[in-house]
Amino acid sequence: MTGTRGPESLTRSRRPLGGGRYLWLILWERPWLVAGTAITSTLWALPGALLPLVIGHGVGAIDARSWRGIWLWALVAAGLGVAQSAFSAVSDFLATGLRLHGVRRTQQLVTAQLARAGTAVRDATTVGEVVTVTSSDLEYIGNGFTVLGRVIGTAVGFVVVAVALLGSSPVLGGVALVGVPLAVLGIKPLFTPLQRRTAAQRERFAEASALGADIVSGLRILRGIGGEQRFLRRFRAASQRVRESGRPIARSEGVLSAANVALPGLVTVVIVWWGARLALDGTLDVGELVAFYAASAYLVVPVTTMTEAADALSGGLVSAHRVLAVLAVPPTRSDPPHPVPLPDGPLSLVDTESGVRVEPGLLTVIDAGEAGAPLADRLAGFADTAPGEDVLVGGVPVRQVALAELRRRVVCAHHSDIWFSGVLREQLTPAHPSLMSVSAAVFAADADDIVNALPAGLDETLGERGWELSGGQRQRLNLARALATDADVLLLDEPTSAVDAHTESRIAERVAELRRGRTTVVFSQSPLWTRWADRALSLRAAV
Amino acid sequence: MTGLPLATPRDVRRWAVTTVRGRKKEFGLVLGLFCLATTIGLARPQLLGAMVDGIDGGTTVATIDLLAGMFVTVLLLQALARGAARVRCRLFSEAVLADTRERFVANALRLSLETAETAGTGDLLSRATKDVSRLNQAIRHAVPELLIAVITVLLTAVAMVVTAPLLSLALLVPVPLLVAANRWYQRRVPDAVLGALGSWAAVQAAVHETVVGARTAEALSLNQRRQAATDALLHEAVRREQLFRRLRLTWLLSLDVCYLLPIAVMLPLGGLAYGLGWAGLGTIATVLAYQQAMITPLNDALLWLQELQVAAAALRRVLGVHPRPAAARTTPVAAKSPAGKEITVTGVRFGYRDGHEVLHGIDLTIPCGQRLAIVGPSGAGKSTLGRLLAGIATPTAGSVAIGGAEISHLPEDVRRGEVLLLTQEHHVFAGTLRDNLALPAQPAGGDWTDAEILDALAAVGAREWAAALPDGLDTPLGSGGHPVPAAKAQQMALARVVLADPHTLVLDEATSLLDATSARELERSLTRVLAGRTVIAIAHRLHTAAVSHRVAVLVNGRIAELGSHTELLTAGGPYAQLVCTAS
Repeated sequence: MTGTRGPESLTRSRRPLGGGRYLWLILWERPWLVAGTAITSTLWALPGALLPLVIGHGVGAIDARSWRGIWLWALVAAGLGVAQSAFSAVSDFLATGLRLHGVRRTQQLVTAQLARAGTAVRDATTVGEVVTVTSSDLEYIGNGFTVLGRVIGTAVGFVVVAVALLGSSPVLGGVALVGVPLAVLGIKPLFTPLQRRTAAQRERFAEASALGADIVSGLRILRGIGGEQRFLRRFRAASQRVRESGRPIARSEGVLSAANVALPGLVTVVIVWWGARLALDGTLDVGELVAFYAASAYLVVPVTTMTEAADALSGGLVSAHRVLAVLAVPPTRSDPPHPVPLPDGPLSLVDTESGVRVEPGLLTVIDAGEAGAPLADRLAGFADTAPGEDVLVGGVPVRQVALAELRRRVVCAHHSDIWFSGVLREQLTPAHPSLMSVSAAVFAADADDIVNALPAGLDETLGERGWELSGGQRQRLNLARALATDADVLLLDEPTSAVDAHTESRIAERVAELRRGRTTVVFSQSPLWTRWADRALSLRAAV
Repeated sequence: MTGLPLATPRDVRRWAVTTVRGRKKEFGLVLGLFCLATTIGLARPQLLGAMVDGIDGGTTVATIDLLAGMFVTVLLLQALARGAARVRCRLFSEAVLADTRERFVANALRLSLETAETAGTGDLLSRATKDVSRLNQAIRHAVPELLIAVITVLLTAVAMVVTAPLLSLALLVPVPLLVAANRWYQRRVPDAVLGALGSWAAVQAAVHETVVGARTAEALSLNQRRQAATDALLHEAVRREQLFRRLRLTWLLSLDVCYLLPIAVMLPLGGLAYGLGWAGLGTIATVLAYQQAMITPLNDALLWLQELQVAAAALRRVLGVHPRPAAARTTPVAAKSPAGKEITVTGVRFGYRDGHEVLHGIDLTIPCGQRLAIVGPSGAGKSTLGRLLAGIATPTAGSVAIGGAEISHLPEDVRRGEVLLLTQEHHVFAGTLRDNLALPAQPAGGDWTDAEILDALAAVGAREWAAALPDGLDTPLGSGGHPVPAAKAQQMALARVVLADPHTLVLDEATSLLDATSARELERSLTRVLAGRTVIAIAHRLHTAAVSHRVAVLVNGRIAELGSHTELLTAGGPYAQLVCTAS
């Protein structure tokens, strides 16, 4: 049931996407669903629209004391009830399908965008912002899609009633046909301030929501050391700003709600008043007058539906804009126009800024202190080099290597890497096929005991960020995960900072053995690593 | 991982009752205005009836004009009342929503550390954002619409019965079907809705994890896999929604018949009554108009009721975040406050799971002002012992007491004044550097001064870094602000502790993200600042142990050795081997 076209077709479209166009493109991925919703919604609206005529004829039959007529119109009313019921259920089913499609596709696009440019998105927005987009904005887009069917149905219902009125009395039909759209148009300007104010409130709410998300994310720290009151005060202030921004909305809603009663109501009054005068003349019979009243009462429905739909659609548009803001973040690094392939076999590394040269196929231990992490970032192409400086991987400037190839052949494991939730084995199995077995990597990282202590071993599912393990245990699993990639170049930033000396010594020996013949760079100050290093560098003397 | 609980439906009802009770006046006003608007609106079919009767019996144009004028007046009055009701209702909703979300955050901030740890950030996040937002939608829209709909249906039914009791019998025809269909549906909906909400929460938790771990995923080419995992969760959420959609299909099929059936019954009844002279044509027209006017609100009521059920499910998740004191926490022991600052650990055993014990009988006394280092292999139970010493976990057997009072039984705020635990976990809050540091309560009750904050930063060796920030202490940090490297985040965490200045401090690998030289410098300066405090340092770096008064070596959940650095070195036991390996 995934989309017929990949998400890229939407996000990488040449024209800059507007919110409306985005929703439109998503919608047209399911033409049959759209058509089905439109048709069933129309069929659902028809019985309601025809009911005034049935009532009118029924009253006419009563007036004429015609039992045949009474029974006939009673049966027609019952038949309309059954038809309305069936189409209402089916159209709701299809409209929900449309909503689910919109929600699912948007979530898929955001997920794909995170896979494509996750770090860039995190830096460009906030974690809370992304979470808001995948929660409330998803709902708003879904709601916008849900009302589509009803809009189509009621529009058709309106036309049917108006035509029927025109048939009975061209004047009254004309009043309805002109009056109701006028009422809708009269209400429309009232919507603009409401929309503006609603958008403003949603901004306030997004701020409060992001603050709440931040508090919850750092809850363990707040509960550990204090500051709850300070943060609660900040949240309360943000929350009260949301409440305050609801005040002008309330006023707009009040005016709108009054107009929703008064404007279509005035059209009703004109029709009934005129109709009553015609009935007095004898131009219209009583049944027809009742039908006119019922029809004009029905005409309120399209008006309210349209105003509600406008509300839902504008909410969906605002959300589509917010989704697009996330989707439009470009990846931090894009592929060079003319990628240069890396040479086969073990690779050397050169960083001109620090003067570090790493020989191919050797284990190099670098004692760089605080300069270690930025150096690792430069070597793996995560951070830019200073102007005039360069990083060469296997002799090729790092900027000229295709990103996928670079990530496959040069793996950089950072000590702030997180362990994702999920089945242990799945995460330890590298993304690219490698000759290294998971168990060899686990052994080298001295993580056998962790795996063995888990009830299901490698098939155990770990929760969010592996928080049920200790810091040292997570670090060893992270190391095993990096080793399992069997990359040509492996950069390990402080890989054993959270384990004891015995363990560190075992790990250093095993990693040296496992990585023999491949380029490995370890950033560490521990003599236990230096012991096994082919080359040891210190950047401290230079500083 | 055990998630947070859900509030019971009873809690939700209690919440509704207390919310209304707390704002009795506002709610009464809203209700009154809606009733007024509906009652005024009910005059319209009566005016129609009067016109029909007039035409039937012969009347003048002037009467018709008069009736039309009354129609306009009624309409304007109704519009006015309805508008006023909407304004009041929105203000009421905004107040209720603000209360609810603020109470949620206040409650989350009172969760015990233990609960906060086991709950998982994803679940809490989804409650704080998605569920609160769902509640917004429902309360802002469902409440007024439902109120209008229910009031309209009830008052219209009353008006019908008063106008024509016999014809109103038709109203009873669809009641059995309506009741049966709704009972069937309402019984199945809560589970379906909760299931769907839960699976959406899982999608959100995955998204959150992906954003937080964006760099890890990119470095290890795990992006595609994260995408696949999230998509699989999304698939499940959509599947649940589709189950719900099928339920609705069945329900709606039986529902709509009920709206038009009474009209079908009313026509022959009307014919009978008119024939027998029991009812005039005008009355019949009025009642039919009433019946027609009831369809939309009845339909709305049922649909909004369902929206309200989604809201109730979301509310159960929101209200489920509640600091429920564990049974052990409410024991009278809690009343006892510590007399002294000495920590005594006697016969402590602990396991996270049944039959999986991590600590097997620990005995330890830590005098006030001592620096104790706990070393040992990874997985020996060092962090667990640290958590017990800080009172975050309760021992399965034995006792951990401070000045004779059981630490884990102390109220949180008292405990925090006694002992603090600092782990390598860190979070940079979205706020200024000052916001990030000034978390502990200032002893004098005021705000921390710049000088105090800068001194704390100096103590952890981060003063130069802070001074180099674009706006100093007022530089926005965290998600969306100035980036903070992990090592700096750890120094910030230590600076908070320096400000908090507890007499006992448990540091669990609190400097592990710093490189060894910086860590050594930092610890040296911390030792000066924390002189006279009891410091329990869990570390794998042995220089920490070397500068401590005493060293405890933990192996497989037992204390293998205890003594000063020099004593243990001469003893030639596990510690001596460790030191030998490390150098």
